[in-house]
This record gives sequence, structure tokens and C-alpha cells, in this order.
Amino acid sequence: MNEIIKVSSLTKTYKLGKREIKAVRNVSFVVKEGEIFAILGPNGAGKTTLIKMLSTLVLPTSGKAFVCGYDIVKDEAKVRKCIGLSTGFERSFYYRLTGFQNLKFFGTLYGMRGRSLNDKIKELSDFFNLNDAKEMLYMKYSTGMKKKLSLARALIHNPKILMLDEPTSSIDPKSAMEIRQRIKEIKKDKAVILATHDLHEAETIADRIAILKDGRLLTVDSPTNLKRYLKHEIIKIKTDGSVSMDKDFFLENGMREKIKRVDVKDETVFIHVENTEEVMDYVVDKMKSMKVKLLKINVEEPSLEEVFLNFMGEKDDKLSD
Amino acid sequence: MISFLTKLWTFVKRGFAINFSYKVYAVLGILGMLIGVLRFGFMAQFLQMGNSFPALSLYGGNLMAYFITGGAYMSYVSVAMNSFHSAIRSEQSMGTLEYLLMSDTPLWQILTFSGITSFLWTTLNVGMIFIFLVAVFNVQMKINIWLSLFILVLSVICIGGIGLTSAGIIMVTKKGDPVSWTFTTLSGLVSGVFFPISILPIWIRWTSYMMPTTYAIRALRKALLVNATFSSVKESVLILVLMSFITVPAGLLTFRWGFNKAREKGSLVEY
Repeated sequence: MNEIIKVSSLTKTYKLGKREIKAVRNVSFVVKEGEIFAILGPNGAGKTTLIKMLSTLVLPTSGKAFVCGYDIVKDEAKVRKCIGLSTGFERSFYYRLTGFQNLKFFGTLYGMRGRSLNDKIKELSDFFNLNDAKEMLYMKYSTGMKKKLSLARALIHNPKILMLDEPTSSIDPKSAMEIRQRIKEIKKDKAVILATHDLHEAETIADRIAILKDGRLLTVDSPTNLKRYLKHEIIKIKTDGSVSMDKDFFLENGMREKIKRVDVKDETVFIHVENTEEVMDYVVDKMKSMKVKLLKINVEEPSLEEVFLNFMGEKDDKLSD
Repeated sequence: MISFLTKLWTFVKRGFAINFSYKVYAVLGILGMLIGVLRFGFMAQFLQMGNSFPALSLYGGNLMAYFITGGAYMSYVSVAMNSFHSAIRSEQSMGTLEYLLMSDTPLWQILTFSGITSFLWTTLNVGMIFIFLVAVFNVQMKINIWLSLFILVLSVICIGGIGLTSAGIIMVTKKGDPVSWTFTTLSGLVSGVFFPISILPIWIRWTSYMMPTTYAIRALRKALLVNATFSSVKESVLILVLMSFITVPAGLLTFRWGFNKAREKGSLVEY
């Protein structure tokens, strides 16, 4: 797959009086065609600034970025043609026009008109299930419909890249799931950049995830590889609850080095280990010796949430500008 | 060209659709305007009774026509000065500015379309005023329509340059700019909008000659009220053309500066 976005050492510093705020620090990555690339980070991590720089709406302080092969500073008009943008803000349409009128207005600004524009609006209305609402005033739209209309607008000129900033924030799980499904379908012939702080969203639809904190890019990898990064597994044991256990129960006989952490929640014990095989026999024997009845044993990978939290905490000290 | 016109039409349709969607507001606005014209009309009738105004002889001597042309022209000055930054402010508050900028339409076209939409809306209002005037007060006007339109468009372009400068500054300051304040305040005072500049003290009159509005209103009144020909207003037209060569490039440069400054600060959508 070809590289469609190439970012190298991109930096954005805002000046607030005498203070300088580094919103994005020396960030480099590439995005390939047909890929969903999630930028994951907490609020204030620099996700929106990064998206806006790539969309030519904010000028970088230093560094370079090429979108569809065009420089985001020198060839801004060509970059814009290549991008469809959808931010999470509800206030981005004309409230007193209908959804159809709004799409028609923005489509015309992309040089479309007549039948081809109407056909495209019809196609997008079908795709996002907005047909019933397209004659409704935008101000009457539900939040989910507003998000879908925003996606439809971003796709109206058939861009090669879709930039999405929090596309499912503040909407119900069913609508969020529907939108995620649509994004997955869109990626067939487009690259999608998705800024989000929703871990589930990033995990379920992204091919690769970039973790951003305080403007720094901590890592870029696939969700699967990111989970491997933690080098640990979780043995999940469900018991009948007849014997109460505490965390120290398993940390005997030199096991403190092999067992990283133990959590007990109701009748289930979560044992975090680096290598399951090394401790499984010990754990089972230990529980049997206490006459604990084992109902179910699973070995699970750590969740992306754990990976994310690990990056948010542990990596702090290792990084420099 | 077709694409330009299609986009312009879309902008105009959008502007009128939004304006007319506030029906009560639109009706009250028109009523308020017509009542304002009545006020001016009766005041002018009262002052005209038994009096003559030699200073207005160049424009036919009718005080009401003099007032109304001045007032109507000031609406266009307001369009030229404010439509750009009002359009930006309005798109910012609706959250649509970034999406307009992301589209395949250059910024200068977006601003031009917004300006033309405001111009047409104002023309609709001013047209109603003139129809009302003729119907209620039987004001006689001898209009050279093409010359009037030419002067009007030329002056809107010339003042539009200053409006662009103002919009460029507003992109950075967000609210309040000295260019707009100075121009709007002075144009009403020293351009001969409601009284001839000959009554101004000499020491202040030099500012009149610096203002494009002085030349525009002078030429426009002649074209609207005494059916003037081009040759009788060519001096004013020439000065407006020369001034446009300064105001328009200066406006474009200042606006570009303000726009890039806002992108640098990441404050395009802030207001």
C-alpha cells in the first residue's frame, strides 16, 4: 500500500502572552492507503491540533507533512481537495436549512452541481440511513443524525482521505456502532484518520493506533501488537465464592517475581503474569489446596485500556522533547 | 465561470433562505425601515415648507430626496465595510467557517459571494424604500440607472477594500478594529451624506477629500436625482478608481495577513 500521508517532525507551539504551549511535539508517522489510522490520546493531547494541521486549518510551527503528496503549507489548496473533514462539533451546519439543503450547499462549493450532486446526496443519504431526515431542518436533527450528516458532507466530493475528529462522541451506543460500521466500509478505498479518546472505538476499527500524550507521539502500532507490548497475560479464574481470598494469597514461594499483580473481584480472581505457563500449575494447586472450587479458567490478553494507561503513566519519565 | 456563478447563486439562495426563515424578524425589519423613511420624509417636508436650499441645487433641491439618497447610500457603505467580517463572524458562530475553507472554493470567492449576497439584500431593501418614497411622498427622481449602478458598484468595491482590511484585523483581534471605527464614524460626519460638506469648517474639510464616500455620494446623487451623464461625474469616478487601486490590494494583503495569523494561532474558529 502506498503512503498517502507522511508527517515528519511536525511541531505546533501556541504563544499565550509570554507562555508557550507545545500542542504537538516533533511528531512523525506515515499513513497508508486503505488504512484506518487512529490517533488516541486523552483530552489536550494534541489530537485536534494535529488533524487541523493536516487539514491546513492550523499552520505548523516547524516540521513537514505531505498529504496525497502535497505539502500542507505550500500546496494547501491541493491538500484540501484530497481531504474530507468531520469534526465532532454539532454546530457546523446551517441550522435553518434542511439536511439536503446543507449537503447541496457544501457540494456546490466543491464544484458539483445538477444531477451528479443530487445522485451523490442520494447515495450518501442511503449509505448513512438519512433518507427520512434529509428534508428536515438541521436544527431538528438528533445528535446521531448530525454526526452522520457531517460524515456525509466529508464524503461528498469523494476525497482520498477522511479526517475524523471524535466522530462518535456524545451519541448512543447503537448509533456509534452504526457509524463505526460505516467507517469500516469507507476504508475500502480511502485512508481514514480518526482522532479519538474512545479506546473501544480505536480497538474495534483501527488498523494502527498512534498514542499521543502532551503532544508527543508515544508509539504507533496495530492494536494486537500494542497489547503485546505490555508482555503480560491475565489468568481469569471464576470460583464458587465459598472461600474468600486476598491478593497476598498467591504471592508466596518466590512467586512475587512471576506474578505482577492480583485483583479479586467478587468470585473472580485476575492474576496478571508475564508467562502463563510458568505459573498455571502453581495457581491451580494453590487453589485446590485451599479447597476452592474452580468454575472456569480463561487466559486473556490485556485490554487496550491497560496498554493506554500504561503509556499514560509509565512512559512519562522516559521521554524528552 | 459557470462554476463561479453556480456557487454565487448557491450563496445567495442560502442567505435569502436563512433571512426569510426568520419571518417575524424580516417583517419587523422591513416595517421599521419604512417607518424610519416616513420619519425622514416628514422631517424633510417640514423643513422644506417655505424654504429653499441653494446648496442642494446641484441635486435638484429636494431635501427629502437628498436625505434618502444619503441614507440609502450609507446602507451600501455599511455592506462594503461590514459584510466581510460579518460573514466571517457569522460562519464562526455557526461553526461552518472551517468547512467553507476546506471546500474547493478559494477564500476570496467565499468573501465575494458573501459580499454580493449582502449587496443584493440591501438593494432589495433600498428598492422598497424608493418605491415607498415615490408612492407616499411623490418624490420626483430623474435616474440614470446604469450610471447609478456603475458608481454604486465602483464605490462598494473601493470601500470593500477598506472592509477587507477591517476583516483582516478582526481575524486577529476578534472584536473591535480601529479602521472600521474610524471610517464608519468619519464617513457619516464628513462625506456629505446628510448635509453638504461646504458647511463644514475648513480645518475639518480636508478629511472629506480623503474619503471615497465623499466622491461616491456626490456622483451618485447626480446620477439618481438629476439624470447626470458620465462626463459630469467623471472626476469623482476617476478618484474612486484611483482610490480602489490602493484600498483593494491593501485590503487583500491585510486580510491574508490576518487569516494566516489566525491559522498560526489556531484561532480561526474563535470569536
